[in-house]
Amino acid sequence: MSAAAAPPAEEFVEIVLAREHAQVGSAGVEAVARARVVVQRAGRRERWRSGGVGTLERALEAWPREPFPDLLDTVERTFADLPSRVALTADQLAWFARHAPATFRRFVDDHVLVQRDACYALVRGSAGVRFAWRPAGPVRVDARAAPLFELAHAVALGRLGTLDGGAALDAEAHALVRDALLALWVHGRLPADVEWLASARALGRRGARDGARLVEDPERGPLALRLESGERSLDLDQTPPADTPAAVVRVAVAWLLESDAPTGDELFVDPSGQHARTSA
Amino acid sequence: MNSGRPTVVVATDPDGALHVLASSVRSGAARAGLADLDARRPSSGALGDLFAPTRLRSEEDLVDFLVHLAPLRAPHAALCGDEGELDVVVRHVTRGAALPSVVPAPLGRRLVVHTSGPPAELDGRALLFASERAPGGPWWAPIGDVPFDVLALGALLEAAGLFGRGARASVATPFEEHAGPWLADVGAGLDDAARAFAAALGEALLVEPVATGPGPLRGRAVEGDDGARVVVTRPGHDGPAFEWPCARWFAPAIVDIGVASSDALAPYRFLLFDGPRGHPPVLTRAVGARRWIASRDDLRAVEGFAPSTAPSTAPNTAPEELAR
Repeated sequence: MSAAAAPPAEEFVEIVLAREHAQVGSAGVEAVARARVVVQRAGRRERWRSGGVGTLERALEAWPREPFPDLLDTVERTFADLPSRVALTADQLAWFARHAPATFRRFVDDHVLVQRDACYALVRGSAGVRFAWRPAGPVRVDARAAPLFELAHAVALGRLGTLDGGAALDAEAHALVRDALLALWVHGRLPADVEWLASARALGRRGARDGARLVEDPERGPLALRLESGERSLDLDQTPPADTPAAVVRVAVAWLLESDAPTGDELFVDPSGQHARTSA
Repeated sequence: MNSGRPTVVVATDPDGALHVLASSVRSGAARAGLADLDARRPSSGALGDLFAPTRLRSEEDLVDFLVHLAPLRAPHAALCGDEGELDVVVRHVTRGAALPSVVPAPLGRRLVVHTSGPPAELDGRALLFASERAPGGPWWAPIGDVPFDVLALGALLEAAGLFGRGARASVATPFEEHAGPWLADVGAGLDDAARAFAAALGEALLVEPVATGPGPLRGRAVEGDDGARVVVTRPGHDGPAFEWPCARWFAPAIVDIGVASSDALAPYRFLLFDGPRGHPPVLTRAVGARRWIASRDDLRAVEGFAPSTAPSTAPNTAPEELAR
């Protein structure tokens, strides 16, 4: 969905969407969103109101509710001589892609897309996860490798893979890895039913001495883990994505492991980790 | 000074297992930034888990307990090659095996275990009493080097059944050797004699629930200047009277012990002996061990102790599952 990164035009018309999700419209209107139109021309930036001021209420409204894609038609007709831009947050763009495909297609085809607010984006599906940094400005997606998120997603789906001998992992092994990832990355506490076996440097289920164990492997790296079950083992990689704040990693792991339906949506987190939104 | 170090107060029972008398509280807000997510987990924070007394069978169990007590280190810190040492304090109120000083913890961290002895206030002036509601059954142990008459009173309380049936001491007292021959002399079925003997001791100690009705043996206490003697006789017989010298006691303290033996939430008590140094000790009070530890200002100031049973004064207010 990346648009051609045009240099910032001197003169343009920009549709700015408020920082909230749009709503599905009715009666031929695909979506309704709070938006304002700003015209930048001759060094001046001015608000433009579609259909004039009309009523006092409309004049006072800071972010009027506008129909989409009708607003695009109006703006294109009125400012045919100016390049047009659409400014919106990453989660709004994902909302349009999902709920208003016709509008989304016109956003992408006819306008320069500008992302409001930098964020980290995590997409999960049945095939795996994609993690990216999306800076503010013309839409850009910097993909980042995130073995930790791959691992958490595989655990959530119950598809951790097979041990080196080919034996499938059972639900208890998945539950152990899940609890361990949540404890290490999210809660910062071990739950009562997970025990630490100091002599083996391993986490195991309390009361299940013969069950699966999660063994730390300092020789492979400070965060390397090995899942051991009987004589067999599976190396796990829980390396977090590079240059990503710990708070963002924490929110992402919690979202991957603790939400109800573990496929088919996106998470957007700001760099502080405080503000997380999903595309649902 | 040292505030925030996870602290656990333990005692060793006759089998060598460690009992947790009190511990720091796990703070739910250890990681700033997000609300505590632990609260969403249905298994955490159950009241029963919170109050359940904990018996640790091995050193590895103790390390496991400490790892659950302390916050885990941030995984990013492990990536930075940070040493990640964490100081924890283990206060051992009875004698027991030495603990390892440095042990591995998750994420490459090392726990540095500082072991210390009993608080000065208790050292040599108290007994620790675990009721029959304690995990592993009833037992008792002296705290520090207690005088012999204090040990003798402990043995007497044990024989009278105040700690619960089948209580054991972590120290040897010559009570058995002393009472055995006398009981054999009484004869008439040793089990019955032992039961009558325990009832007579209870009568001497003024324990109502234990001394149920007049048995074949009578007991009474004789107080002297430097201690007390318990005398057991057989009415109508001129035979030898059993005598056992021990420390003096206040009757309300014995009542306190009787109450404590059925308290599931606070199975550990300190039996406190008062009296100026150099004078014969007197058993004055039996207090809940957890509560006593939590109320000591010196513990909190010196060790950064966050008591587990005083939420109004504790700096951390989100106790979570500690026990198994």
